[in-house]
Amino acid sequence: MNNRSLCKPWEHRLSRRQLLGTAATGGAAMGLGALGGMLEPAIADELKKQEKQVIFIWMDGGISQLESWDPKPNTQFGGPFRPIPTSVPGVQFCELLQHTAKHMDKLSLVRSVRTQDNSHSAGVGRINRGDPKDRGVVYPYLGSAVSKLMGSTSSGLPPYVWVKPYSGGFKSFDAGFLGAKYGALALGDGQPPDNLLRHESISKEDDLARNELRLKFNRRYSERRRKEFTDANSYVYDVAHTLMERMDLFDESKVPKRDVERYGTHDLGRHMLLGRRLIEAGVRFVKVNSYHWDSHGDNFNASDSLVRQFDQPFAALIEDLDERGMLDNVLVIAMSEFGRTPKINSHVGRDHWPEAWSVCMAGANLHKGLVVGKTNNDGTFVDSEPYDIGHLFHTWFKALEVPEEKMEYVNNGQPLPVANEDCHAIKEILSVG
Amino acid sequence: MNSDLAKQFQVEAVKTLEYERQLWQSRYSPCGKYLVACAFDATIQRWNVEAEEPKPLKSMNGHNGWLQCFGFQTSRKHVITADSWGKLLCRPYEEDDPKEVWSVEEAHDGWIRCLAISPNGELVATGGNDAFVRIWNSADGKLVKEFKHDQRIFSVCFHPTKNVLFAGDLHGVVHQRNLDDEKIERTFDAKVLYQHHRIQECGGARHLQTDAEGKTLICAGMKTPSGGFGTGTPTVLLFDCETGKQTEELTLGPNNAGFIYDAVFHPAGFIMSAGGAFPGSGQLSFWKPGEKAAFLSDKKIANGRSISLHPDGKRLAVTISNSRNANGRPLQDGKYIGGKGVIHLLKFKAAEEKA
Amino acid sequence: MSRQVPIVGFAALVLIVQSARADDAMSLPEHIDRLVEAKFQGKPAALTSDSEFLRRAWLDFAGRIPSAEETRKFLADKSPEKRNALIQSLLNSPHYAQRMRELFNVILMERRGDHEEWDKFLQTAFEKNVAWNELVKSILAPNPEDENNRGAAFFTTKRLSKVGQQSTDFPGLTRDIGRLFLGLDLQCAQCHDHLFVDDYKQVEFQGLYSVYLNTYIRTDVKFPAVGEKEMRQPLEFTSVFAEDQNKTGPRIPFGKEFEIPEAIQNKKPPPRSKEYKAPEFSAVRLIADNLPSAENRLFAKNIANRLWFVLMGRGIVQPLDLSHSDNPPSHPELLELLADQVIAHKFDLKWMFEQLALTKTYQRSSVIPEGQESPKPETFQVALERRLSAEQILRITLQATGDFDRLTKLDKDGKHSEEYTELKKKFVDSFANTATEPEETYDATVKAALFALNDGKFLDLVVKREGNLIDRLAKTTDTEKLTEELFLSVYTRMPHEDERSEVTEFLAKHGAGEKRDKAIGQIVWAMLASIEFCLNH
Repeated sequence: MNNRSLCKPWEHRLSRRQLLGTAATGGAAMGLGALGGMLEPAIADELKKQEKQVIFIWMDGGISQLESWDPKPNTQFGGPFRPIPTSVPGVQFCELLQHTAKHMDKLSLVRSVRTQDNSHSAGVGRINRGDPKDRGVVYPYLGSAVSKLMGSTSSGLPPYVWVKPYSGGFKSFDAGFLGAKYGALALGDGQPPDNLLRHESISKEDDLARNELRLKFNRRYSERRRKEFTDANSYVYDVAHTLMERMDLFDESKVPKRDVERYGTHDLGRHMLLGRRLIEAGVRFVKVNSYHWDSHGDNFNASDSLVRQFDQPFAALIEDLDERGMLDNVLVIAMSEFGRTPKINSHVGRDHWPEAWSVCMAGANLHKGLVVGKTNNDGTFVDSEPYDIGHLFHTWFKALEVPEEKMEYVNNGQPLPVANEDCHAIKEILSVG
Repeated sequence: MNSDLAKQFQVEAVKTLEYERQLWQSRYSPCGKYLVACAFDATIQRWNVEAEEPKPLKSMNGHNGWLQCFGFQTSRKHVITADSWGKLLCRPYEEDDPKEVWSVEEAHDGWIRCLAISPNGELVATGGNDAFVRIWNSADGKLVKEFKHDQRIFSVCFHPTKNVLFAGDLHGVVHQRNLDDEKIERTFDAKVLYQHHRIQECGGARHLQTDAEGKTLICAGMKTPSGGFGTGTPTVLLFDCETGKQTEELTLGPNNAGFIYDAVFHPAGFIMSAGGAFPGSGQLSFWKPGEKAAFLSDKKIANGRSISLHPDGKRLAVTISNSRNANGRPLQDGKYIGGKGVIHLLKFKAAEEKA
Repeated sequence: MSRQVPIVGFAALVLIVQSARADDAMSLPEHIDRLVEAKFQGKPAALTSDSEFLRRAWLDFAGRIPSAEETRKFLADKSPEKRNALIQSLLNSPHYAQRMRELFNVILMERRGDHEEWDKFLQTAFEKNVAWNELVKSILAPNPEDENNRGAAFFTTKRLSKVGQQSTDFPGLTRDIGRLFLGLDLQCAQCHDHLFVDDYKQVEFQGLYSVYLNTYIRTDVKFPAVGEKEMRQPLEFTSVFAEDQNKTGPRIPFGKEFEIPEAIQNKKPPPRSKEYKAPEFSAVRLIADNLPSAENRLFAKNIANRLWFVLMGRGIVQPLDLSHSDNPPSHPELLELLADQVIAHKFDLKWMFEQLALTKTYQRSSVIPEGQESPKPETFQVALERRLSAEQILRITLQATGDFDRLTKLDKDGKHSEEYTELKKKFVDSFANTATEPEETYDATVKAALFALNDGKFLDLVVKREGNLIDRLAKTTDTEKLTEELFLSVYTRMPHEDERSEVTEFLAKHGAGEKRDKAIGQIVWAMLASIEFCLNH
């Protein structure tokens, strides 16, 4: 029998729970989290500005590279859409990216992505985890990895917030062996988590008073005991309070009308706008998730509908981050688990294609207006050095200035490279060494 | 169950024509001598079908993107073609190397999805992604009129006897417009053919066609998409042109089987349709209005894109797509192979017996 | 590292253990303590105070805390035997079976779901103190004819049920049997010999897998029941790394492989029948009869290790399911001793709990001795604080606030009120892990913090209501007495001096006049939300 399909290497969990033990001892995430409340606002703002952050746009199912970043007009697989010029001479996008095309001068595009997995079920995890070598542990998704490596920013907000359609809550799945603490706070349809609103029976003064007392009790208890649990407990209460203070983030009525119009009133538009606001508020890593990009059927009408839903808010996002001077520190990534087949099937659709696709990035230490790599004339294969997701992970950690010594998790003695060691950062895209 | 039509109108295969790229439509020319097809590579393919063995003519180029629609101007023997980059082009279709009669480079902003020629041959109507319906003079390509709609236009069709144009959009709104006073006389409700499914706008009034007298309007597409691929049940709606009311709805295939891309009246009063979605799904169907099911369903002719009745009434050309649902692997001789276009040439058995 | 013998130097260790056991004067708890103390690094923690011991034992064996009255009584008791007596009384109280049902439900089901019949099975088993090997035998081959026992099938049926479009997770079921009953996570040995655990061979997984591949959920009965297709041929498997073909019949990991009788191998399949008939050759039965047994050392060591974990907060082998030569036990002799004793006492869990509870190791304080650094957890020289389950937190919260009787009252059909069911769901949502995640460490979550901070139902528990804690305290005008009652009710201990003054100050500052009730509620809230309340320390 074929055992390959039964093997779920991401379920390997040697020492996962051993690590959980150490995870609770804190580290960067906690230290910064606790610091948040004590800083002068002006200093905090200044610090915040210099802190690297990530906004990660995930189009689940697979956006077609041919109908977006890498058009192949008038070729066998080119499809019906026109190529359009961008703000960088010589670089063309598909016409469905008409707004984003105006900002190519701020983007970094890799058109030579070649990854290993052709299925959603495995591909989503492999890409999100950077496809590390199998060491018998479940690696974290990028957001959890960044939470672990960089922690909260000085804002004290949870390091990993996930804006998604459907349900929200605290999702530990992404954290892998790092443990639930590094999971995502998911805002289902942008809605705040349960119990975020201070209860009507509790005034702000009441809240302060009761928490002061709680902390006194905790301090006395932990004076001569192990600190891990008390620290972890303090941390989550700090995060909870910081979040409660930022109820404004969830109040759409406070968003300027102009922004609503620019980003669009559809889910991805609203969610990207919330993503920008969360980044402005200081969340370290924001994932904005859209589902149902799997256009096996009627791909061109689907793309006509879907890609435009990405284009409008994405262009607005880049514009806003640029205008606010935030692109220097905010890394923007837009991608799926793979691209779509050049071949157009009888359903006028495109299937899964990990062989040659594109990832769009911007910001933090990346060159602007740069296209790296290319596909061949009809877009079927990469025609330059191919880059796997591991190369992108290395590139992102470099862009975020994760120090070299942190490029390894230590899982109870077992060293685990944070990114696949067979890959390296894409040098030509980075403005830092 | 189904009338005598089932006995009378069975078809048999005569021949298949292949083109190396997928085709959107093929149509017999009004004179019956030619079969003309438009392709994913923006070319026009022609065959002389006078003799038993169809004879290919030179490919006609000059377009970009996809060619999804075209029409014949009968009196001048012109073919007017429209592409997905917005270009409209008029050429004689009989010549081996036809020269352009006229062209409009930006007839629409982008994708022209449908085209129809008025019954008297004077006007060309086009509809596009820019939500415009435009009327052109077929002699010189001058813009005569234009109408802005709310949504992308997927289908246009002239009334056979009145100066009236039907235009259907993404949302399943079909306007009947009087071209004399330019007013919308009536709106047919084909909204069932549209659905905002998950985050995607799906469906649309993909095809419009009337019978010879203009009494009945066919509106085709799909409804109630489900699952991940925005694909629903192949559906044809019939409307009474006098009252504007829907008279029938016929489902031509299982849920998820996809679109009816083309549907035409046979002079004997039944409707012939082609469609399909998942590779290998869909069917050629003959169906008489008023009857509950098609009297002919040929599932071997799957993934149909168009259906054309020869002027002699004895022959049919059904265009299909042959592109399996695979990712292009494994390579064949090191090459990544795309899909092909196939035209099934069929003839009516009954028609031959009578003859 | 030896590839044949998974247990390091087992033979040598038996000798040590036997020589130690020769000392008849030494009780088992003393023996355990001696083996633990031998590895101390620096000064151990003192023994717990009476109140800390009281709370710990109640939580462990009754899943709840004592009332203020019971606490007062215990603290006042001068008998030197009072701790032993308490352990005895808790183990023999009706709360014991309930606590064990909840504990083993979480251990065995890992929050996959609940079932009345499964609860009934566990409850009955612990009420009767059914031996662990018998209990596991019932789980592995449940008897559908026995109403009190048949619910045991839920362990298997829940794991066989499909989730979404995924195929039945036979590998997951196989893996859990290895993890939970043998302390072996063979998952990685499913497709190839384990990459970094030399002991774990593919055949160890495949031999067990071959059995469960033939199981399914019976649909002919309403209760959970497992059907079995007869296994007539050995399972063939190939490593994804090496191409060689291998075969295995039903097999106990690191134990015996059973041959499929020739008559069975050559047997023609019987005609299909609507009625379920157990197969003539039942591989499931073979596993159930042979895996949970005194002869299976791994089985004995696993339960010894897990009981140790339950009371001491860390396994002698840790993680609990990674018993192999590269992950040796922290105290090998101790583990062998415990395994021997578990076997000698016929897998009597209650007896084993008692022995462990009587040790100094169990009764050490979680307070680190003055001048010492925090010692390594595997030394057990300072008690490790332990996670409370959602069920424990719910129960002790209601006990502390005086809402327990009101909310847990059963209606005439023997059912809980909607209010209680809703509250329980909130507690489980806030404090339990997600399905399939073992609950072995304390995971602080923002979710739980927000629940405590803002959930209306939770906050309602600290609002004055006739007869509840706030009401009782509000009626106490003497702040000294109030503070004592408060600390005994919530923390199961008397307040320290500075705590007394804190309460006095808080009431003076925030509890003037009408605001007194609310201020008392605030103090209770701060205690419920504090780390001292949320842990078993």
